[in-house]
Amino acid sequence: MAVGFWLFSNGFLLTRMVLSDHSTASVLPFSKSALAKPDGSAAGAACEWYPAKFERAIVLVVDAMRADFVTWSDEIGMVDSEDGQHKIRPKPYHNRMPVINSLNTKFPEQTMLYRFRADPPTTTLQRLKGLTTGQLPTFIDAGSNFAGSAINEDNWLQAMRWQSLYACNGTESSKESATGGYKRNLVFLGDDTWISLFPEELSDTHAIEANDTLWNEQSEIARGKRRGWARVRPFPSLNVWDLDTVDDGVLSRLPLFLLPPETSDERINNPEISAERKLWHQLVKQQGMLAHPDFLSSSSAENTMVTKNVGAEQLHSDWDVIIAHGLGVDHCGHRFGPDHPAISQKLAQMNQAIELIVQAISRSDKPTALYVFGDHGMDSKGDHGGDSPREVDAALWTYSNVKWNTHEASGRIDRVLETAESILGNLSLTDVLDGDLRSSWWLNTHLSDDYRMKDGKLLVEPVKMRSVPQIDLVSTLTMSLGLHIPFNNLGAVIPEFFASDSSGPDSEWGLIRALRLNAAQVMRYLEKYMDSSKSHGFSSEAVQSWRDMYNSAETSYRELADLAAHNPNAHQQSHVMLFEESVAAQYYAFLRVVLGTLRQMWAQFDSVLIIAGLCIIVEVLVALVLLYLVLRHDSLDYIVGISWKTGLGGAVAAAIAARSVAHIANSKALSHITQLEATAFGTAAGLVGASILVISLRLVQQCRGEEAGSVAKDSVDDQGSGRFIAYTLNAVALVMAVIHCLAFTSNSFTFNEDSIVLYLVQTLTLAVVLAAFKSTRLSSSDQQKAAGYRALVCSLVILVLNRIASYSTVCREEQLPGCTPTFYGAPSASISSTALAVLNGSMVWLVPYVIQHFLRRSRSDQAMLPKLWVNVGMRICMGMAAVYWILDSIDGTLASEAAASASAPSSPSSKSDWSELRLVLARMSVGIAIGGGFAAWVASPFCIDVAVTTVPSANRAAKLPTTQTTKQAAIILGFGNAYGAAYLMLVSVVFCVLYTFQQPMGGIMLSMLLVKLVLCVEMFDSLRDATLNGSSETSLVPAQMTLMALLAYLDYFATGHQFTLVSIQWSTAFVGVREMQLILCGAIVVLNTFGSFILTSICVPLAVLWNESLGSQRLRLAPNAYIARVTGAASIFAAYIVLVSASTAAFAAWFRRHLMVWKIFAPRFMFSVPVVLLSCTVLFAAAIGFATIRVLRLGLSVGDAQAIVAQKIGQVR
Amino acid sequence: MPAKKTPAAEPLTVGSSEYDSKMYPVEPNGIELMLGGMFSAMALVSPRRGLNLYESPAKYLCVSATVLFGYYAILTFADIYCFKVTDSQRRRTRTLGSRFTAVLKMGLATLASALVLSIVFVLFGAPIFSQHGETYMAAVNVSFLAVTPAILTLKADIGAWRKALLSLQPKTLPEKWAAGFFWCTMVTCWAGAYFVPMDWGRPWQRWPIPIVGGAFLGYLIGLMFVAIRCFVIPLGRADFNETERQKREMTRQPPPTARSADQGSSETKKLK
Repeated sequence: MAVGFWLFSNGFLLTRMVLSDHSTASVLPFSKSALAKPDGSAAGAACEWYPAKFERAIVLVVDAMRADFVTWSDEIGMVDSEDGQHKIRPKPYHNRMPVINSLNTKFPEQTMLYRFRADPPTTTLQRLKGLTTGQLPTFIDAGSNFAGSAINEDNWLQAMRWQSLYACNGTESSKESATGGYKRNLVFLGDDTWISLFPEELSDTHAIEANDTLWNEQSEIARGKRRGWARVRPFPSLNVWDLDTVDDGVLSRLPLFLLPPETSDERINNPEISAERKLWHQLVKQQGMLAHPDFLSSSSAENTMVTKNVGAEQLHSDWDVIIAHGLGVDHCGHRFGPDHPAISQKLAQMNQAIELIVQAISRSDKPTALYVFGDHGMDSKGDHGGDSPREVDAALWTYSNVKWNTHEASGRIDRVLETAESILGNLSLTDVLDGDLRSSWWLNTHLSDDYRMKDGKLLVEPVKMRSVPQIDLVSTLTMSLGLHIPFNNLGAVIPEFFASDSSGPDSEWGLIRALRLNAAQVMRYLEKYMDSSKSHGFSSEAVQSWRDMYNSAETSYRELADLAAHNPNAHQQSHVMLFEESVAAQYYAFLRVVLGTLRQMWAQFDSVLIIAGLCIIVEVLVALVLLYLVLRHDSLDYIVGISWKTGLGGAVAAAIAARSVAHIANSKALSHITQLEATAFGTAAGLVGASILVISLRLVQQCRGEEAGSVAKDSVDDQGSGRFIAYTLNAVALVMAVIHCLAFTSNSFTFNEDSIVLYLVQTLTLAVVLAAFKSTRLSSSDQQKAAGYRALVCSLVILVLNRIASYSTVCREEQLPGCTPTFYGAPSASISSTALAVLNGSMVWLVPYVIQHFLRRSRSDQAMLPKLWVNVGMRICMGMAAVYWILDSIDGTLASEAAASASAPSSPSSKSDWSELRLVLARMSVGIAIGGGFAAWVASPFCIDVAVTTVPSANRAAKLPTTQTTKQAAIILGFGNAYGAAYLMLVSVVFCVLYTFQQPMGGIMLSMLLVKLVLCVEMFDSLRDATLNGSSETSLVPAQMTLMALLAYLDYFATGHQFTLVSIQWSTAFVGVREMQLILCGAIVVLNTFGSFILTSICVPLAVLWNESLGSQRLRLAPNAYIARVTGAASIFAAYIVLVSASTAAFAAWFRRHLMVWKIFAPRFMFSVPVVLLSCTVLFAAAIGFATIRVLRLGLSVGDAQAIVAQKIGQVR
Repeated sequence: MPAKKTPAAEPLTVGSSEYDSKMYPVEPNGIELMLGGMFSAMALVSPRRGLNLYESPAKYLCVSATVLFGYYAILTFADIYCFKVTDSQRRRTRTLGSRFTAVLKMGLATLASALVLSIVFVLFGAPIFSQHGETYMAAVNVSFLAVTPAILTLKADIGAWRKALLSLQPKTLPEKWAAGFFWCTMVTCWAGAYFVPMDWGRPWQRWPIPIVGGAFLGYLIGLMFVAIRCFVIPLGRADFNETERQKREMTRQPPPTARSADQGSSETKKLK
């Protein structure tokens, strides 16, 4: 089963290590050996990787701008035709951005339009990560911080922040970076997702500028270390219904930077510029936005845009990078869908904004680049997140006020790309590459598909356009600005940007230089990645091919360099140019192969592994249920005996088969399953499968045998309706299990699992209430009637306790408006209130009392062990824990009060120090539980005592007239429930340990869980007595196990947990521990988190052992069958938990492209794995393997009642 | 369905005056079911004017409960709920006062069962410290739909309740009647909770609207179910040439003593 989970996780949880390394401008990415070459002239001293092409850049992100929104087609205007039945009209989103087309035709050497392919998932957050780091999205970025969303990988915002713009010397830059401050003047406007990703890089420097006296230091050094400023204006992104706020916020502030500031002097004001300003203002839909202090006159104190040091004039002239992110189009898609006139308005607004930006930068004398792109597309309903073509195809359009894409260069680029394509086509790894990596051109089918006639004729022909993956932007943007490429980048430079240059002392072709740097950087990343972890998961063939390609490209490059060195004019000669192109193509192909391989490894779920994992989980589930069925009649030894040989054979056979199949699958690149995974799968599947086969064969045999024998024992009427009750209850339990599984089909059910579990538990309990109610009249004898009433009372109490348990909760963030957290007493507290802690103290009295109460019925409570342990030991132990938590809450409250009045340095006296005392208390509590309770239990678990009375007792406790001739009768106290009571002692010991590690509310709830479990055991036992007359034909075990499992889930929530990582109570790791010790603290957190599951699993055998008399004939004649019954019950319990986890796994895999998969479904699955593993371990190893067997063995060996009696009576005398 | 079958039932019951003095196994007439459908529809729809279900569900449910009460009150007062229409002798002997008492008892028993039901709602996860009005009014509505038919047919006999609602033994017509309404309404009401946790943000997802909606839907299903079980199937099986005695056996009217001994219906609480 563990293998199943492991396989599933390998396939499902895409992992990638996050390397925290950063590139620096002063160090080129070449390896040392390459640097040693004399021709690596540019290395060493250079501080820029590539000379800056553009001084400034505007990055305008139009969220969800699909490729066909931007393209222009004259044919669409004529499309307005009626095609018999259905009309084809121009879509509202086509041809809405004419400025792009007109500029493309007017300035072909300054513009370029691309299809911009995103890596799924196409959600803005994931896309921004990719667009800034150049990495592929994987979801468990191992090593990254789970809670925080900030990016700590190298990215180009960091590069802008740390890298000084002007002359740098290798040594100085590192020092500078320590001093902080922006090197480039950065403006950010728009979607606040950026802020959560880059909280440091994008922090407004207004406050620093205002306070820092050093800022306006005019010295040369200060100028050299220019401190950049930043202006950051984020706007809320979550309100999908709001189409305008973000766009307006962006568009209203852009003119502050793009246009020269308004002056009161009319003569200076250019009329052209004022006209533009007016146009900008008209673009803002909500004119109220313009009342913001940002637009006040610069002298106003409220205006935080300008400072003394950075005035309005500097804002206009000094910015280096503007990042603007408008959400209008995306929100319009979400709200109305693309087929709505609103989208044309939004696109027209963007169109005009682009037009105005272009006008502004054309006026500027600094080379400025404008990048307009969509971070993803939208599907036909306007949503995004998945991997359908319409979602991944965004658009990228670039414009600059200088020529950067000359005609000669574009011819050379075409040749490079074609060569690269043919190189890629000849590789053996081709099938690894997606279509968009193999070919650099793409047909704009989204445009044409909208105008398809019924007969398949296209009204609009698809246009061929250039296609680049999104992450290519990273290296392109950084290199063109003269920055270094982020360390983790995997993209390739977009050739158009560099093909027109020649750079360096020997006027090397710019594209070669850029690609070579890029390739070296990627290679450096790969080597580093492989160095840092053994389990990098790259196949050796892939690594070999990467190295080969890189080395061959380098060799060709060196040949080229030699050629150029001997021939100064080489770069103009056509054969050299061809050679250059082939070298560039080699680098390009290398980059594409790396990207393709990694994309497959990191960004694609391995469905083979997922299915394999699920298969094993389901197999285990089937095996458990079959085990239960077969164990009703056979002993465990027998089953193990007949199945182990077959299982072993099956395992070996399947392992061999799986390995060979995996080999085939690998060679066809269906999956990158490793040999280890294949072997594990084969072994597990074979073992379980063969066992299933054997067990089911045996089961068929049993059924045959039963059919033959069943005619004879047709039951009485009374038992018939008892059977009806049992069947109904089991059916209800099955329905509950099915509903619990189906709850994971919906995200709202998954995050409301706590109320759903309550609903199911209450339904099942209510069914038991009705059953008990029915049984009170059904049964004939008084004893049965009493049992029925007992069951009724127990079930009613459980109903109430369940509701109380569900009252305690920590809310998930998704539940929040409709949910008040009650776990810590007050809604906003994160420390338990003292009142709760005191209430927790009352459990010290309650729990032992309840245990004793249940023991009293069989008079087991008079025995030595319960008297000592339950009455004294347990109370001391729990009392210490309760005091611990009271002190803890007092400390916590004091600390928070001190923090609230933090202005004054807190006096040492107020800082109460109970911590030493707490440490002692917690340790003693656990120590007493284990050293006292557990040791006593191991020494003599039985709660049996002998009382000698003269009065015959009417109690249920079995009365044995002794062999003595005296008139005194010896009563063995605790005879009737000998096994159950003995086992309950162990449960109480385990409970004490768990109790110590629960927060006060959790402690209360855990106590209630113990009470409920005992009640549940008692209830079903009574119900069995009342209805079934102890016949083993029909069994209530499935219903009982379902109820117990549901109780465990309910109390998981009640003890202050949710299936989210944030709800883990890390603070409990330090209960009784002074310093962080990884294993110990981890174990404590596990005990705290899964306490309810551990307690319930431990209780499972109690369901069978309860009220089992010491003198039970059944038990003594066939102890093996008895163990089989316990195992059967346990296997049903395990089956329930496995079923739930199988369902979480299945639906997590099913929804793997769901928007919320990483927020809801995947964490739910990840939590279900430890639940299953822990419960099963506790269940089968501790509860059955150790405790039950020990109890039974001891019981049987001392179970000779006569001997005990004789011995005890001897003592009494 | 019941409307169609009524004329078929009519001739059988009309010519039976000679049995009036005895306890005669009466035939159902279907009036209650027709009225029930009409009134439950009214209770759902009519108060919409001037009252907003989404803004003040408690008020709205109060009005709809009043409509339902009116329906049961008419039937109880006229003593024609479930099978008693031909029992004209017995009806004539009942005084106005005893009729009022019967209506009152019915109302009180329903309110009491609603109390139990609202506790069950809370146990199943309804808010504990807030929205008591909504919870109780929802419980009153549900109990009118589910429990009152049982109150009126089974009276305060726990054994009869147990037999009618919890056993598979062959049942008499009143027991079938009670069980049909009870289980159909309750199960659909239970299933109505499906909509509560969904994050669709619809106004009708507010507590307790899905529950009550489910109950009404379940009641309508129950109408069909009861109509088929108590009218269509017996009539389909009936041989129109058979003797009156055989008919009597078919409908399995319980002996009159069990009926007259009905007091203190508040004991029905136990059954939720």
